[in-house]
Amino acid sequence: MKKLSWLKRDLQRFRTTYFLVFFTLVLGLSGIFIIEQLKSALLFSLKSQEKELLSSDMAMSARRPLSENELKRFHEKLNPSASYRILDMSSMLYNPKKDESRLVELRVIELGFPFYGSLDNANGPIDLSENSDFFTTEDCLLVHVDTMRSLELNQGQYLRLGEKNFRFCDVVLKDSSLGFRAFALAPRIYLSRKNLEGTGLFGEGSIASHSMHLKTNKTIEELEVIQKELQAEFSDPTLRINLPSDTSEQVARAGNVFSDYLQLISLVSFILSVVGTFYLFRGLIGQRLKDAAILRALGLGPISVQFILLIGLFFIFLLSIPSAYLTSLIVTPALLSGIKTVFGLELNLIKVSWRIWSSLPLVSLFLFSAIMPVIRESVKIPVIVLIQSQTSKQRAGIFDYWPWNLLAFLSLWSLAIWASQSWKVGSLFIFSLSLALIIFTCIFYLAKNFLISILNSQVSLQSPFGLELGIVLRRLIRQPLTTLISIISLGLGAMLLSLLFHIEKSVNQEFTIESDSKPSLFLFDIQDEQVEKLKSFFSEQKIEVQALSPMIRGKLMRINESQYKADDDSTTRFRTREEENDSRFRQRMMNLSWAEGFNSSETLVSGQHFGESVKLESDETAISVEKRFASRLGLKLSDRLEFDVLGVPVIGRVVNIRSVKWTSFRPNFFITFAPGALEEAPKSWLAAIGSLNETERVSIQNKIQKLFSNISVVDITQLVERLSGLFARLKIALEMMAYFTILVGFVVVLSMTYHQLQKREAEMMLEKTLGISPYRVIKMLSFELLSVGIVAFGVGGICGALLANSISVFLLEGNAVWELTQLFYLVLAGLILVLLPVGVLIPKVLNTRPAGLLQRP
Amino acid sequence: MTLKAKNISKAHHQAQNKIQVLNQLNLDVKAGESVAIVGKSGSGKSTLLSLLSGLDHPDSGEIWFGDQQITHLNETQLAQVRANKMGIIFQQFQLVQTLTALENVMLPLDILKRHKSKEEAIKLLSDVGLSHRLDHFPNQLSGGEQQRVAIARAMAAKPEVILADEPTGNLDEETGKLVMQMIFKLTKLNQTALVLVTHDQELAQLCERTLHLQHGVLE
Repeated sequence: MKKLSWLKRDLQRFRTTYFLVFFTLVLGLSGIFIIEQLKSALLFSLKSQEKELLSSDMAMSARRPLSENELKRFHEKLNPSASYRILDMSSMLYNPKKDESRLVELRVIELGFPFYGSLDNANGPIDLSENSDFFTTEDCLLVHVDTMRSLELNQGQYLRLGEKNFRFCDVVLKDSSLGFRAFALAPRIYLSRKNLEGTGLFGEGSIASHSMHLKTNKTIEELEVIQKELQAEFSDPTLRINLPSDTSEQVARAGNVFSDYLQLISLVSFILSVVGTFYLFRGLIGQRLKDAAILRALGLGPISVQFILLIGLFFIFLLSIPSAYLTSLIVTPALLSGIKTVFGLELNLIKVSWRIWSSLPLVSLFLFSAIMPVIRESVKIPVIVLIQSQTSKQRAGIFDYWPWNLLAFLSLWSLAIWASQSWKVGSLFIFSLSLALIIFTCIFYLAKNFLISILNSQVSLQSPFGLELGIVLRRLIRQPLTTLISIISLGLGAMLLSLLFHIEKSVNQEFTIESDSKPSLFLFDIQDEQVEKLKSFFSEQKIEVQALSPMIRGKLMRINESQYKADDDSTTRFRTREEENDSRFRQRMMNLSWAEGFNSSETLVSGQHFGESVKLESDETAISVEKRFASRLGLKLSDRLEFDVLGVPVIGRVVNIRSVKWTSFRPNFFITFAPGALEEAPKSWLAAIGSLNETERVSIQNKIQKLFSNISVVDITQLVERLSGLFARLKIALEMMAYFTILVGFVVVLSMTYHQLQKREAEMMLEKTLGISPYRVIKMLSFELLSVGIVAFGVGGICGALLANSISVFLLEGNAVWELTQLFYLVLAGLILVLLPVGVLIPKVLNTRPAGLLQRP
Repeated sequence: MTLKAKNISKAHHQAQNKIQVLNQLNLDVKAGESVAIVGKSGSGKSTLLSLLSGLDHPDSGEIWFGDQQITHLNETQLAQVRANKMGIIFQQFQLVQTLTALENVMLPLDILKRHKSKEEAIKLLSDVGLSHRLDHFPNQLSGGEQQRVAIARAMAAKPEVILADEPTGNLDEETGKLVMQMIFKLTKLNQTALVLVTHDQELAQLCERTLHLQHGVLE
């Protein structure tokens, strides 16, 4: 009871500082809650896009009918709430009006399709319910707009498919399941399963892709496990078990990039608030050391004294958790609504995951283990020293209480890994923070020794920097621990802010799509002998060909002397994101190509371009490897790779690593050979044509269909627009989150500075008593904060930029971004920020009379 | 006349209660004169001193410093008066903890932009017997030594008046005597007026005049 009344008095006495601690904690924790919810909402939105591409939660498919056992096991594993089958096959479509037939992709669907997404006509989603025309009439055929254009069809006309006539009953303007996969891009017509009967198209031995799509309530993580288990259970390599994330490279890549950046933002927000809270906690303990000494003098035992010092902080910490959660419950829906209104991006509110709550014990462990050295110190310093001293006597160094410091370090490290969900990112982050800490300490001590040598030899306090700066510098170097802690705390804040600015820049760079480089049409199934004719055609039509590349299917057999091992780890064990990404790459057969050099979306990362002098064995050809792919497979320059191309070994040596701007939407290959090795292999070509308006697109499509009837031409404008629109909106959402975190960071820094000034109040009054004018006192305060701010924000900003680029280049496989102007603005903003509290204190300094000094006991 | 208080009143408010600490108080301190103000704890001695030094402002009345009324001066003007004409000695010494003994004494001289502040400060510290403690920080000095530094600092700018608030209150008897001897010696030497607030009658008798603060007025 006595301890509780002590807590009450304590809270009353230090109410401003306790409020600052509470405010910072609530701000930091609610920031974490809000960002976690936004992150979940954004990822959910991306996953929804992926689901629309697959049209279901999971699909099993093969170029043969699925066996009963396969279907049974699939259903058993997923326990679905609904299911449908899809049959994809090629078929000739006869247009009686023009008396011509064309090969099209026929998609045979069942009731229920699609679980996610829609087939849209001009009025919105086409009715595919049980009572719809499509399922109730015997001759309804839906035709995709590309097919309609290329065959010059008219809605309502009759078409012949196999042995049966169909009515072109509706045009599909948008098919949400059309992605960037070659097969998915093909022009389509849609038929119900029932109406397929009688066409004679589907019988024994027919070649078609059979798929079973299921809808389930299982989480993505559970589905990933089931996918692995099913893949392990069925050894048939032609059987595919697909998740939404397997459907689109672009959306999957967007998901990965977003996830990476979101985790980073979340991590930064988290560490910012934890560092800020630690700083304020420590300051509060420092203010109360004299009280602790008096209690000790009165006979209170060390444990009780420590308890009294801690109980207030513990209480505030406990109080801040529900407060932060409540804040997030109010702010997040408003934020999502704002995003929807301003950017048109609809995000669903996802409840806070249990993951967030699981971090709280670690946060507590960090805060209290970081504070314990100061607490322990409070019961070790002789009572008389504390009582007689007019300033706090905190001497706890990093080595004095190493077990506590080690515990604090380890808990912070664990928090970083937890928050980033990546031991690499988390470890690099903590390593960088530690390195920055060492840099700050070294710079401070170098500056301190330099200043000591200058200041000690002066004949007056005014020389050589003037009285105000002279006093300030003396104060800063003579309270090294206090100054260093201020610099480190502010510096780490600055570093994290700089990191965020760079992340925002990287996101911008990664997701910006130049509008003039967007492709309009994709052409595939181009045969070898058609390439030259097609080139002439393009030339005649004055069409910009963005890409014309051969495509050869190959299987990687060996890397140097080692047999290449595709991922066969089907265990259900926990995998980090890095492992998941590796696994995705290692499962694939590869599309190979050759080229004479890079296209405009490719950039050399390391090595030499083809054609530059590189030593190769007689059986080798130079190859270029995409950066992320190289990183996943551990490929480096000079590695020798052996491929199996339809039974023929093809050997290449890596001469360069290149990065590919994946938002270019152009055909790109992980592995590109120099000319010479693959020309003879069976292949098809694909091309991308850009910068065409709608009329030109229709005209070119028709001309190509007439001249090269086997070539599939797909208008991808709508899809590119859809995806680039999605990326643009997600980019804005991500940037908003970064700015939100920056705002949180600024408020944390602000409250830290304000707290620092609070501690200086008594000294300010003494200075005034000695005859220093209020303006000079303000000048001194400003100089003090500016000196700390310049070092903290200058060094912190640079460290943040270095960390951001290290993470971007080494871990996220992005590119380095050096934003010196932004760095300058950050330092400037930081300095304004640290000066803001001075502005708040100006009236106090100007108007308060320092009578308290005479009454001070 | 150096320092004059005319009909000054000051009340403190504690919760709902108003405590009238000073009530129409008058005081004259002449140049070079030493005046002791004695009274019980809580009688308002320190409040009076804070008003005389401009550290606080009275509810009513006037305080004159020479021919200048300081009651209505702003903080900048008051700082100038304090820097040029007053030296204050506190019971708690109130040294700047991050400055050495020497720098603490140099500070008032540097505020006034005096040249050779270091030389003057060394001389002052020698006068108070601390020439061997120049580079020590306050927390490295004993209470007596800190108060001697505070005396040197108060005398540094050669003020017209020294306002001392229980200067021996935190010191043992012997050190207290030593410190007071120094204050008297230096104020006499520099023809500086001294207003000494104390509850020690013996110490008060060393001053030329002793005034009792009772019920808010000086008797």
